[in-house]
Amino acid sequence: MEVIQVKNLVKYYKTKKKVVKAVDDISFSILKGERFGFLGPNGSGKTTTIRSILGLLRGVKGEIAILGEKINPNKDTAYRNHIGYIPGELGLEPEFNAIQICKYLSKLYDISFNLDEIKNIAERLKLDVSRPIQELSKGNRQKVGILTSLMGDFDILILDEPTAGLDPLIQSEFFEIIRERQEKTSCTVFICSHLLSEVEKFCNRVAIIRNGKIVEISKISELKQKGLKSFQLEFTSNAGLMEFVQYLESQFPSASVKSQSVNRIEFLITPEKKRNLLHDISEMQWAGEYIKDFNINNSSLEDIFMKYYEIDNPEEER
Amino acid sequence: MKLFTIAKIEIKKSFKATFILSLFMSLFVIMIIAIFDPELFAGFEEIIDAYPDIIKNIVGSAFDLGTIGGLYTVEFLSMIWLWLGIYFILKAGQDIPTTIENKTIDLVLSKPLKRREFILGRYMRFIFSILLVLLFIGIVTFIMFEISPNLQDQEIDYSELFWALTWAFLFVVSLTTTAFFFSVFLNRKRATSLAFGMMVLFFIVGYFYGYFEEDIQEIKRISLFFYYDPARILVSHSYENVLRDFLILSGYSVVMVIASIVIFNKRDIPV
Repeated sequence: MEVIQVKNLVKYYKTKKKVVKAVDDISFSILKGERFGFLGPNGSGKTTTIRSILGLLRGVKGEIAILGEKINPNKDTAYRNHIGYIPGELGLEPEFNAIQICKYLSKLYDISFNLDEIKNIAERLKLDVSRPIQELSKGNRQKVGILTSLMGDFDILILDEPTAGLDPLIQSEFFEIIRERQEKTSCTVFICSHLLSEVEKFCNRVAIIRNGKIVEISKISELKQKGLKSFQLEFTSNAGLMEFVQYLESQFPSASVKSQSVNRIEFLITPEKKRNLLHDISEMQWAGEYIKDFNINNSSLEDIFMKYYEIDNPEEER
Repeated sequence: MKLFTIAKIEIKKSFKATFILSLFMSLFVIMIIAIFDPELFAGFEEIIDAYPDIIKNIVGSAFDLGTIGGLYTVEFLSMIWLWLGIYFILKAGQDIPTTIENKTIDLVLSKPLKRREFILGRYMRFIFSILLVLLFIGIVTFIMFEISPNLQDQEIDYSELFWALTWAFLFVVSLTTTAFFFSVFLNRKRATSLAFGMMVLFFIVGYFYGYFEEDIQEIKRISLFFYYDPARILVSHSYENVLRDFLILSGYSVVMVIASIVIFNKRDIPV
């Protein structure tokens, strides 16, 4: 069952001088129980997509269905009962402490409120629930946001940069809490994050969005299979390496070098070029000697993401 | 009703400030009542009477400093736009932009809450706050009128005081609603600037229309100040057109709130 279905979603921001195509005709769907990652550089349209689904933006075109029912985010509000949400930039009432905020939201929205459960999560996240928000650091405020998003029963959890400001230990604990909640309730998780390694470990499927358009949508395992190949080569001498670098630049100009030392190099290359390169590496000599050692891996999600990102930033490609 | 929950929580948050304001204004009222001396103020009245009309207009439309009702009107009720209006304009003009700028609005509106409930909840907080302040001042005024030795020979009609304060309430609400209206689609700075600008414009048009060309003097009807004249009740003891003015001030506020809801319903909540 598709719990979120987005069809031909379009959202333009109009200013006096220009029209910005924040989201430009995107479509995707997320299945029940799935952990879906939404990746893209800043300004690519991730948050606009989420805010369109939640009805925070107006003038949105396209179709959105939640739990199989078509909704009008500008008019309907009941569907939001099924959604837990952490905004990208979290604002909380400064005078309240975490428990008071949870109680306020619980009262306002008739959400069931289990104080013990909230306290337990707070303890795991190492959050002092008695301190007012204005006395908390950015990371601790984010933890309060996590508490509020986990209140009540929901079918969908939308997380926009949920680990911003959290230290690595707490990030790991946060994903563990989400995993446990998902095992318990079979909820669907829709996550936007810049922490690609976490998304890689946590999500089943990802969409990569660039300039308001989805450029890739696939299971992570498939994406890595069809994605870039990472070559690590070791030469017997620096002269051999330098000769190979010249060869690489002339024969495979699209290859991107990740690292290079005296006699080692690591680079990424598209899968269709893999066979030719493999042949040359094994047959050819470099400064009079064969290659010493080599290793080929599927590239990481981060490499794949960076490849898409580089297209937007030719400066960085250089 | 979710809007009452929002209003309640907002009143709680601003209760301390509202209480301090009430206290401060009550002290001011106590001071006015304490210094009242019919003979002394009758002399002042003659002095003010000699002032040009333009100055007298600023103070109020009717003068009777020899009675406590007259002094109370001139010093407090006629100037309520200054004592309370500016404070509430400042607060209301910043209200919605602040929730957007500090991002608290995201968490609230991403839940099953209609935007009109949110707007009405935030607006009602101002209505209740203004009501609380004027109620507090009204009670203090009543007590002072009862116990002050210098008022023993004064004839005080408490129903007149009640209606004059009700009028002041409707007037301050209408000024606050103007600022609140701007706050739903402008940023803090622009909303408060525009609300102050409107108040100054209303003030000039409402008080000084008599100095305009005769054929444009009807412009006075666009001013909220034209529909607020507590001296009519407390000094002239007349209720002529009072109901009309009550209805116009209330109707203005209702129309502005509906417009606020319509505009807010159509706008993006920016990141």
